[in-house]
Amino acid sequence: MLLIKNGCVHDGRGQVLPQCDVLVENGLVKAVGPGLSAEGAEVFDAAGKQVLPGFVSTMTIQGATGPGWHDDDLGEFSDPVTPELSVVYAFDQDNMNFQEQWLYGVTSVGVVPKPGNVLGGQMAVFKTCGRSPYEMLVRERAAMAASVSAATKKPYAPRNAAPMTRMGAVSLLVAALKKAERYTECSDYDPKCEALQPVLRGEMPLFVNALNRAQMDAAEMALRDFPNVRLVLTGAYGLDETRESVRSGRCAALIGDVTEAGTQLNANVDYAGIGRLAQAGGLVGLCCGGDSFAGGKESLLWNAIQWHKNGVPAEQVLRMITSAPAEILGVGCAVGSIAPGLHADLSVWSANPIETYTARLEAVFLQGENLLTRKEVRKSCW
Amino acid sequence: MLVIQNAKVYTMAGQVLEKGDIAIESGRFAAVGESLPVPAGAQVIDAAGLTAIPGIVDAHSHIGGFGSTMDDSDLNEMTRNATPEVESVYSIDVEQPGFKRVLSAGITTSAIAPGSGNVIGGLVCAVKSHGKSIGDMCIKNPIALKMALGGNPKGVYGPRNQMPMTRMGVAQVIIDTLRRGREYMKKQQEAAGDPAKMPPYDAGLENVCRALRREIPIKVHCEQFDMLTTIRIAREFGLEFTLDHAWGASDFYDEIAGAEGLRGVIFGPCGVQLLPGECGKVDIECLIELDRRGVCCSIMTDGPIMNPDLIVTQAGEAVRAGLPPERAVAMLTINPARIIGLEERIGSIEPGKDADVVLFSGMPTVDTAAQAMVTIVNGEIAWQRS
Repeated sequence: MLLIKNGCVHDGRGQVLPQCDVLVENGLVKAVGPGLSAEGAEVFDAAGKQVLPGFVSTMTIQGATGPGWHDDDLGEFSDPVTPELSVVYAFDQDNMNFQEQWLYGVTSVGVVPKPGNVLGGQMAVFKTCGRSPYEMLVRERAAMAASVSAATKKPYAPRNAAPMTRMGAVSLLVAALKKAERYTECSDYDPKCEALQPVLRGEMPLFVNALNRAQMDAAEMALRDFPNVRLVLTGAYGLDETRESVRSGRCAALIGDVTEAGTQLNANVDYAGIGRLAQAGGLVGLCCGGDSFAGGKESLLWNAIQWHKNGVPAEQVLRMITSAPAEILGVGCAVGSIAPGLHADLSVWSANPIETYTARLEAVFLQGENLLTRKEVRKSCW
Repeated sequence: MLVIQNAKVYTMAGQVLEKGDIAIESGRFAAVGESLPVPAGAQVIDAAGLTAIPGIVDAHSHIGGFGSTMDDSDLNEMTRNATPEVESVYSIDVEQPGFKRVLSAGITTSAIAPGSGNVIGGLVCAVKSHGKSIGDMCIKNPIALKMALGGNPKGVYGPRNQMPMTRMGVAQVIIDTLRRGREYMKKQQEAAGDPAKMPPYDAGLENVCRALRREIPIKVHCEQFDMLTTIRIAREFGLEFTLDHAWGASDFYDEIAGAEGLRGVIFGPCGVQLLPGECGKVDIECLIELDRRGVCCSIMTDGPIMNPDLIVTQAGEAVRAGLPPERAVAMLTINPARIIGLEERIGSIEPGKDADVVLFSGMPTVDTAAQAMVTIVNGEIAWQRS
């Protein structure tokens, strides 16, 4: 057992609990509250420190590209429609360990196929440290990755193959879903149609990479005929507080990356408006992946800092990198906040890292184990 | 005349004023101090609660030269592995949105370099973020000769079955070029002014000679052990140089601090995916020890690769690692000004220097929420947060 004493606990859902304890047993949070005690428990003194949930970095490609720049296991550009593929088979724990994401508080990642395919395949959620993909796996088939951004044209247009245009991309997306709708137990085996069944039933969210308003509108219009599909707009730089689908909770959004400037699409993000939208209950998370990928261990925190710099309160920003993305990925009952029954993934800082650069990481717990002090460090072969 | 009043002023010339005033006249700083007199008719900015630092200098950038979406690269003339004759100044479009974006981050001068596709990329110039035209905004050309080691040039020429395909090839291209430059210079000297004896004019070697004569440094994209190649070649040819990117510098403190001819380290960007080889070690904490050892250090965005706000964020990361916040400001202002050879003109708030100053809503290298509120270039309010 582990008892983290007297920290200022931010639960990732908007609550701040000063002078609060967190009791951990068997890798899970057992209790959160003041004055907890447990006989024989190892005590971590967090007095004067900030205790945050482990950050959840969605839309990452880490663990599945490299070791060279040209070794890419997430861009299966032999066919623009590949919903049947699973990133589980691309994930290399050595690569993930090498990134040391936990040094910036990131304990879970959503790994996503590249946005060059209209339907790229099935995302999975992993922990950022471990000895095998399957031990690190939090959830397989967490979401279906789709894209209608300009990235879909890049692999195919030069081959004079579809999609060469946005309408081409959307048409492939709709056709795949329509075909899957007509798929029954009596049909001949079709891996693509089979993979899309949970999407059509609303059991698996459909992440559609759409950067500006035009792409977001196209995605929403195209999916009108599929009432059960749970749409998550990713990239989503064109979001503002008036977007009805997100306001009403019908859609969620993952916005980012805003730290790269290779695209001007992220130059005019409506930070304040989206912050209000999230405050009012819109399900909005931050990410550092997508067409514009920022893959440093610092990148998710830097995204958070950009939002805070542009006027969104720190506690709201924290939600957007913890509980909100966990919920969007369907893993909110395991990670993304500090609450009894959830994994004991949390970081302890000398100050709030979203508010000040002087904040230093003092501990990061992955299922109760402090990665900064553990005796056996698994060396990456990288 | 423009007077900024009541700011917390970091002059980066040895003074910190809790309630400081800055007087600006004819595009230059006229005075900095406490309770300065305000002449009749002067424009006044009340900066109470704001922090003033000198305009930020990004010592390694490509803004205005890579198109607004990175699709249109005018800074990599990848037709030969060495193109010392080309000049970045001719590829910069100051109307690209990147220039407005750097102003909103407080960057007032950028050293704009050719890309790293070629081993020898061409001449680098210094450009203000605000002005009428490139002719008006370019304040010094050239400031350096750009070179690149490692994966970039290999990745361009290797697939064409041309040199360099290896790091051996990269070093050889540089050595060959410098040797030919030396020979060219020698022949020029031997001609002793006699046009008949002069070697045929070579635009590229003319620029190489500027580096050999130490009129400009070589500006070298290099990381990890490639830095040692740069240090070695610079010593052999007696060159001044800068180490740009410099990931992995923490492995080579002695070599870097003891290097002959080193103008400085231009570190960054961090926040990148780690890969074995030249991207395996991204160690911004190296700036603390290098600074302690007297190496002139600065931080870059590699714009437009990175959102220009991130120049300050990276300085913040150095603070997180233990660098004093004011030293981090130096690495954004006076240090890069020195490294690019413009410390007489920019980089600090001192009478006589160009009036480039940024008013932040907090201490930028500490408070993550600190935003540039007003950016002043040559005494003009070039950008203001609405």
